[in-house]
Amino acid sequence: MTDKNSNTNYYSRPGNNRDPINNDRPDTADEIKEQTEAQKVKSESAVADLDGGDLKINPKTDRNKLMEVKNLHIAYNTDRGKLHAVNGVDFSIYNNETTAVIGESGCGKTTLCLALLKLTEKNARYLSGEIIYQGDEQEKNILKLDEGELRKLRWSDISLVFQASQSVFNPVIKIKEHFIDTVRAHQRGLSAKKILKRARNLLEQMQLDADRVLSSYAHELSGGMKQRTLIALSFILEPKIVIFDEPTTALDVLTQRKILDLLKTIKEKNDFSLIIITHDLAISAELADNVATMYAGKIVEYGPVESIYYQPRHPYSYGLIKAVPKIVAGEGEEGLTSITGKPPDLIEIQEQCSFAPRCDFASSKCYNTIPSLNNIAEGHQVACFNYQEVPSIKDGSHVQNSD
Amino acid sequence: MSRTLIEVKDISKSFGEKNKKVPVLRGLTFNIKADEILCVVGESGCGKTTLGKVLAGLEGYNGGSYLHEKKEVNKLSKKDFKLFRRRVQMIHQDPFASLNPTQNVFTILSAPLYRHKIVKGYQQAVDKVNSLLDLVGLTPVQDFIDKFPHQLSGGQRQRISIARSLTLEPAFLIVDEAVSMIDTSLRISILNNLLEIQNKLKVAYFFITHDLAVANYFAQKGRIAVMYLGKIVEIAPTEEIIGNPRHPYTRALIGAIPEADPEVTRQKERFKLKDSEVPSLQNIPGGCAFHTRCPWAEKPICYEKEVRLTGSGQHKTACHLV
Repeated sequence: MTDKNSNTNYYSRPGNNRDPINNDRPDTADEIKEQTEAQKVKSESAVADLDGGDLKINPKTDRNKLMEVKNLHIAYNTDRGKLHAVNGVDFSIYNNETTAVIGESGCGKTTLCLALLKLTEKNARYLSGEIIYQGDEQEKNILKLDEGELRKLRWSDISLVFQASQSVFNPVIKIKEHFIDTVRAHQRGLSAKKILKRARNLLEQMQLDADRVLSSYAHELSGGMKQRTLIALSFILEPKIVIFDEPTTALDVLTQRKILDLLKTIKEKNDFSLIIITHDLAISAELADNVATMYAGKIVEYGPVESIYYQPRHPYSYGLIKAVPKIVAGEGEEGLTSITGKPPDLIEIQEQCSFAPRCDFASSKCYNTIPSLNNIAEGHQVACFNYQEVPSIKDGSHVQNSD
Repeated sequence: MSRTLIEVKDISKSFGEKNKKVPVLRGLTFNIKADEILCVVGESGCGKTTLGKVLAGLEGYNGGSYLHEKKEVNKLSKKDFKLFRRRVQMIHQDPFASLNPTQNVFTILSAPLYRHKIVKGYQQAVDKVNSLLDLVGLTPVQDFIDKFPHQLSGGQRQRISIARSLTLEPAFLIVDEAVSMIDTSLRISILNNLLEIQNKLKVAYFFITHDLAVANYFAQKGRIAVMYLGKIVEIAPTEEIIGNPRHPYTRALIGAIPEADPEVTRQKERFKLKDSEVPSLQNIPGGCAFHTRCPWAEKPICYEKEVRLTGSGQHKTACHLV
């Protein structure tokens, strides 16, 4: 993270001197904007004062909140009763930062991210809380918006790349029609030529053969190509927040590598916030600036990626990190352990720390009080009474960065 | 040195009709010893699952030979084949699809015991099932024996699947991506359980995975084979292959894996390939099949000359240039 330059050199392939991010991108973007000025004014100022990667090297200064989730409770109505999938979540998305939400399956991370767009299933009930989005001039509470306003917001301000991206495309229309349909749903009257020019530009940034992809049907593309096309599609309206739900699950190692690298390049050259939902700790280690660990519908730890991976303070984060096999020679071969037990049933409301039954550090207090998310260092929050007992994974290595 | 259990020589397998043949396995040679772990890694479509099925006797093979306990599997008599079935078992990838939803745990585990007449009567079956559940860590046993698959979590189902494969006291287990659908926090316990079982029962594992980090953990004392388009491109003891990879494909795989350590993963050395797409099996490139993606490929040798697995001792590589 500190050494940006060493990261960039493996994107540029020898013999390929085309910059993967095209320089004429602002032109095309302006063209689209010209047409739609009346409908949509993007705040130019926010874009202007964020320059390059400087912001990410020192994420603690100059953080602009783009979205704030406050005390969010979501429950699904099921035959057995209310299932509390999101159970009091507070967290923020900052401008131009990458946030990863990690946790086991069923911990509520997908529900949380669907809620950011109010896309949850019909049986979901928003019991309390608000999601404040500071997009353009004024703040909006996403949960209070009506369908029409949500339609405007979705994809143009916040886009979402679903987990099963392989089946997202309509099999009976060509890829180019997906691009045209998407843009026209938000910006009427744009010519197909202009939209496709922009689409081509994005597909080339994803290192795809744009003409071939645009005139293909979804089944003619490989899994990795479909995923890259979908990423291009998610950027077509220049959203401020892009949410990726398990971006590379079900892809091969080398395809995954390519997508991770492309995401990093596109992130470096553009201003937007990225939210990654994943159970793969290696992916969040690679992409994230901040990591939020979710357990049983709650965020139990939130902090800068180095803090979470080297000095986790929640026993659950610690357990997850200790459970991932590594490949670096001489490392990670000893001491890999699983977290025993299983997550609680989210239908029962618990008056204790929901991780306590699986926790090695639990004390009697943990069984009768719910811990709240407290600041323990700058930007590092933990919901644990015994956080000081959790050992560090790696000492000192990230401390140098923080001054 | 323990005895050799499996000897595979130049085995090949293709699917499809005469004029539309798709070769999936294109000549693989390796041995597995009686208590050894061999991990196979590779991208999807490289033939690793097909190889697993051939080894399990679920698919036939078109060429080469596959010796199990010195006997050609294609030519086993009916009686020997029944024995082969008992000795070789497979654990499937998806624990949600591989268990019969209408049978409870006891029925699932006792059916093979009755079928192969390993137990006589109900009481013996209960005892055996109890010991199997104990072996895979599903304790207390009474909590699980009457459960149906839908009442169990993914990790528990996979343990049932493992227990089922152990019912017939096999000597050779084929494990096909057994942890790829299990949550990160449970993966290690399943892998450790499999290792414990090997320690107790001295079985051999053929472990199929796409994740080199999992292979590295599971086969610490075993070997790893890297497959590409139906061929083994490199095979060596785990430490060798991770610490000293020779084939460009192995190097690319190792470099591409993200690590759960922000500094390590961001500063890791990558080995870049020319092209990220795998060629189609219907149209396998001539010469060394990897030349379309290999940054080292040299004309004319890599483009025209077939490669064979060569090398001294345990570490063998199929590359003209190493």
